[in-house]
Amino acid sequence: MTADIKEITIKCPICDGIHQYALNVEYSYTLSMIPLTNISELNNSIQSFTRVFICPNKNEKFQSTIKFSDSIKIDSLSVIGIKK
Amino acid sequence: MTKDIEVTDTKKLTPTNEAIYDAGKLMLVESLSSSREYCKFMITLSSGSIPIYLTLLKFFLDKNLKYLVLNYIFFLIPLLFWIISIIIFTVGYIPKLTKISLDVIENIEFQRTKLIRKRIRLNWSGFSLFLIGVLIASYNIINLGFIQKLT
Repeated sequence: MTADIKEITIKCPICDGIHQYALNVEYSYTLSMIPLTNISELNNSIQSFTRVFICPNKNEKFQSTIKFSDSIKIDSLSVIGIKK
Repeated sequence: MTKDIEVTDTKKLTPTNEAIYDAGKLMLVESLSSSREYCKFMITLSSGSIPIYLTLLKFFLDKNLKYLVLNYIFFLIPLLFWIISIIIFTVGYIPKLTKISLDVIENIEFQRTKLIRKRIRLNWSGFSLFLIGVLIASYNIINLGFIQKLT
């Protein structure tokens, strides 16, 4: 399993401000067990994750769906913290 | 590696997700105390099984029959299992001295996970022994109470 740190910017529905969050993305070792004829399905796969975020200004929770257009399977995605 | 990250559907936490989030928080916070409460409960249950079994044994033992020493040993085996399970649950219930630093989250998580895993192992060991004791005790009571009376 390999991990990567990604940054995303979200428009906060609580305070209407812009916040940056750091995400810890863990990728799977194996891509997928699919035949070569279906390889195009893998390239077009979208993986979506709904996560809870905290507004740093109002200290309230909100949710957002993060979609990855990635050929590599993501095992887990967690919010590490707030950048600003 | 990652071609595109899209953030969509940003909104206030839905009531369902809020409830699930709160349930998750409760699970995290209570995981230590719930395993300890289970140890406490099983100590009471195992201790209570001993006098109940001895009373049933006294009631069903035929005073006119002469039992072998081996029979008496087999009658008392459940007590041995229950006493060992009580000891195991007591070990699980005993508070442990651990040094943690509140500044280091990983250290707290590591100690917490270590303690929970230890308690789970003790709880399963204790429960298995308790269950074996119950099965042997049930066999003894059924054997004494019904089968001997039929023969």
